[in-house]
Amino acid sequence: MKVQVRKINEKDQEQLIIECVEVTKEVEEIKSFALSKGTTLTGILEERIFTFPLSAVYYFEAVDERVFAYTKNHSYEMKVRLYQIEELYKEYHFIRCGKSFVINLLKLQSISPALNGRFTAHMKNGEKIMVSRQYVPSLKKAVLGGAF
Amino acid sequence: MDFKTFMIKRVMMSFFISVTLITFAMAIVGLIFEPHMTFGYEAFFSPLIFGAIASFPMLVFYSNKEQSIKEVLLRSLLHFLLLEILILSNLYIFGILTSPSMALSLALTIFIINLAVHLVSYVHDRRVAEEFNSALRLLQEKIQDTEP
Repeated sequence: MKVQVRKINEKDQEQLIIECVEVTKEVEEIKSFALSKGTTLTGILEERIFTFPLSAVYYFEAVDERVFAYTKNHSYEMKVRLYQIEELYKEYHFIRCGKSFVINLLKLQSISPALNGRFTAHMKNGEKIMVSRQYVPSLKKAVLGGAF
Repeated sequence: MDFKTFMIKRVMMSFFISVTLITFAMAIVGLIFEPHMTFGYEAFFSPLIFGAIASFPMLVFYSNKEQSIKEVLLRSLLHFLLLEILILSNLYIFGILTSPSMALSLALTIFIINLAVHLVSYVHDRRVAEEFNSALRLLQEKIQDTEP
């Protein structure tokens, strides 16, 4: 696929046009990725596409090959990979706390010790997420070390 | 966590804690069963040797994959059983175990030391969690104050 970047003068005129013969899975992924670059996300719920603010997301979870965004009342399927979410929303206080989880630090109530040097993340909606040992240092650094 | 980090962080930490607690336990058990026994300089190697033996079963905790609570509990049980078998059999081979009551009290001592290691780890993790939670609250307040 050819990629062209053309400079324009007006910020509000910025747009991404994908020209393709067929809307494939890859094209859908590029589209979702582009849409995810802001703080308004698009996700699929019951085969319908919804938009919701990033700030409403408590955490993202990867289940098999699919990624879900969990808000207070809904879970939306996202068309981006978890590692992309981790990179995209780092500056918005989202941090990885396990192989399958990226949590919103602003929706985190507290952490408590769990077994074997791991921690449990208590989210503000009452859900509990296991923090893996290997992600504890980065989580500590993000909050204690002023990574933001 | 890769194997090298696991060995340095977890196994070495377990070794040093075990050496300290074994020295203490040997003093207590020795005072009860053989209060008049004298030792040569080679006795200083005992806590180091048994510390190494006690740290070896820590390898059962190594895994590249994320472990569930059930898995961690199972591995903890396996670790404890390996500890008891390795230490008691080594004591028996070296001719240190002289009576069933001594074997029983040592088995109990190993249990208490194992529990103490977990307790030390838990107390440390609880302190980390408290520190983290305070910093998290400050971070959340700071972000709320700066947001329009």
